[in-house]
Amino acid sequence: MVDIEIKRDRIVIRYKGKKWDWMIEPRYWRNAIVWTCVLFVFPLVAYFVSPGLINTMVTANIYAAIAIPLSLMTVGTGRINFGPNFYVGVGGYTAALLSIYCGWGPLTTLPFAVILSVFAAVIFSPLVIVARGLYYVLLTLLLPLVFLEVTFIYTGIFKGDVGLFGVDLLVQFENVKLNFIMAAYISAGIMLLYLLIVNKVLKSRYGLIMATVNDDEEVAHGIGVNINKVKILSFVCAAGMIGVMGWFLAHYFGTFAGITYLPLTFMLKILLVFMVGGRAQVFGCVAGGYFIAFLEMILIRTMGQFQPVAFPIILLILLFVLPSGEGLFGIYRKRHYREYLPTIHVRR
Amino acid sequence: MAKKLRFSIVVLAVVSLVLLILSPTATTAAPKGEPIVIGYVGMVLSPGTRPCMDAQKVAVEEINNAGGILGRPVKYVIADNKGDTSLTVEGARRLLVEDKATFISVEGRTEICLAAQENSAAMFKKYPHILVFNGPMGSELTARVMDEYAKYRFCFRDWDAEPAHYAQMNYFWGTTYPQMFNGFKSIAILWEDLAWTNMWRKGIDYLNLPPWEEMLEKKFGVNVVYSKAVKPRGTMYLPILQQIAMKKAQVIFYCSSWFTDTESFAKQWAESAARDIPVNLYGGVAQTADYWRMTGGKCLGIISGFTDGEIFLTDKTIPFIKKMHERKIPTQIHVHLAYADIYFFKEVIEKAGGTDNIDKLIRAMETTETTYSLGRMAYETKPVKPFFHSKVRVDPDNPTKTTYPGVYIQPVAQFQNGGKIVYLGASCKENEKIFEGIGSPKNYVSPAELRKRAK
Repeated sequence: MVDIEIKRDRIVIRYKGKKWDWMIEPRYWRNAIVWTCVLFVFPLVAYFVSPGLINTMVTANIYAAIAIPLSLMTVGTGRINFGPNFYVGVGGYTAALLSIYCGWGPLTTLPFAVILSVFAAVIFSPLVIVARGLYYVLLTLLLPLVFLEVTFIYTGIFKGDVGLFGVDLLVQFENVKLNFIMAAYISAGIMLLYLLIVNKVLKSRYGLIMATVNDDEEVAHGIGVNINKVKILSFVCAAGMIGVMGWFLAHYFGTFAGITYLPLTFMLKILLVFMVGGRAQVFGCVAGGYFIAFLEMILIRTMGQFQPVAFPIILLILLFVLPSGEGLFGIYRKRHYREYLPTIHVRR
Repeated sequence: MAKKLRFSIVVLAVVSLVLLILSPTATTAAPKGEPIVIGYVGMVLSPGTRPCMDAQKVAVEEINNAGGILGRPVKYVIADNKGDTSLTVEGARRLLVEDKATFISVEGRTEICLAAQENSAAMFKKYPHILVFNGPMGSELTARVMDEYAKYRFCFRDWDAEPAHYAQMNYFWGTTYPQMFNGFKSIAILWEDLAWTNMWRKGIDYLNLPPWEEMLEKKFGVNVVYSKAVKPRGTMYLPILQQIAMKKAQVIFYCSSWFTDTESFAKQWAESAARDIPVNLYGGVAQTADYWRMTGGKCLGIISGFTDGEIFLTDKTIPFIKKMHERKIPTQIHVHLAYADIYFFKEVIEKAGGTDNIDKLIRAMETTETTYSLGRMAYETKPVKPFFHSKVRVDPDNPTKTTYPGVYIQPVAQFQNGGKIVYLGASCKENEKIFEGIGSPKNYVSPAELRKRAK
């Protein structure tokens, strides 16, 4: 028998010894609802005011949707992966190659992009067990660079620095602005889905286990946590999610080249999103993604030739000024602590 | 006497009035109406791209000062892509949707241009425009114009296709090299390890064109003693040069581009065991006088195409170079092209009678011909891949032999003592006459001799 109990701040549902609770206290869900609404209204407003902003929003969503799984990976493995773009490459090339050579559309290529990304992650997952610290950083940093070399060596398959082109587009309506809006909603949908999943995971019992691994692997092992399983699962699942963004990029632009996504420049942007938003804070990834994408766009539009200098200077200042690890979201959360449920402190 | 004076005053007044009416300031009405927007998507900080933007700005200013195009002002808008695909697409979309650009030039890697092409094709119906690729090599860009003409018919490349370079190499290896390098029998080749050199490394099957190495060995009996693909930047050249010296190559041919660190190469070459082996650079910063300064004079003896000199190639060359030098804009090949593009667009718009009918504009792009500082600007319309919609240069039906005369006049030069540019002639036999008073391969001096003279 389902037992529903309505409390002041939550609804508690009990069924056969299991319990689910759903927060109804407005202050806990208000922010999420408001920002989600803003995200969904934004493309419509931009459609009439400045359609170019829709593209910036897509870029922001892509950054955030890569940074969110990266934060899951960071918490679950206790290590920062410096080469998340490797999985963008795997997902992107899988989607592009299948679309070009098999004539498949985005929906058909998606599962294969995920499978191949997960497969690649499984192959490289022992890294999270055998390497730590600087070695892990270097090994993960090298993966995308080695992959980039592979794309040059096997030019016949990957087309080197020219890249693959003629990939089926994500949306192909007659109305081009409608295509922009649809791309914005799809990217926002993926990003919000990632946010929801990763937030739920990190708040769950499994998140607690991940936090223990993150805090001290030996102690976690001592209290009976299968640390290898936790680390590999976090690594592989997050890689699969990042691979989806490679799929998105290939079908969004209709082209895909490793030289754009595999070098350090792209990875640095993701790491900046990760750091400026708030290190390994899931909501911070969204703040960071939007901040970086819109800051870059605003500077390009307003500062002309000084923009390429101003952009890194601003980011450098932010990295110094923002409290260690908290990022933009951390500052916000500190000031609005009543609006968030207490969470486990994870030393990231 | 008074009558004569009065007559003189009247004549003077009439002459002054006529002169006033005929003077450019009086005849050139300020352009009015809706501006014609020309956009450029490229990397603002790139030393290869920035001069293109600056040169195009100069051209737009000149056109506006002269009354615009069909009386309409021209607006020039730049979108910085920071060498990034997503920013390129974002920038191009902004130019089309918000600035209502009719002409967009895109600079960058072939991959970036392909993404811009895909985006433009998707937007073309709602935002008809002309897309010009400023300088990329990838033949894919124009090959697909032929494959899907209806979809990509608005795309043009202001640079020639890879197969168009065969005639030039035939001329170098068959005519000028033997004149410069006594008993030319061996060569070392360095390839920039990017896709644009692939066709020359592997040959072009669909046009039945052999790899360059095979061409050298079979056609000219030249032994390729060393061949290596090197990274565009950050290469340590000393071990490579050591090996080339050991192989006793007579000349080093470096298939370089704007991405290549040719300045670093020159510095290492000048100190290496291969310093007596002459070097011929294919492309890159050596095309301008700045190269001497950038290498601190270490490029003494290096041979390269050189497009920064005030020499008469067409009636536009010297005024253009002077103008650019006054503004401190280096004039590598694609700066010439970028500047020429703006005047080409002007002709196209005038020919099409405005910018309202995109099909008329495309037709005008295909049929217009202008003279620019390095020859003639026109687009190939023979339906041969990948020449179609690329800048004309050679006969697509016979790309190894026939270069159209006066179309692309490329001076070849050598850096000699004190940074003096000495011209070594043309890059094809069809343009030899133009260089009669400018220079010939006879002017070549070996690097060892130049170093001796420097002492």
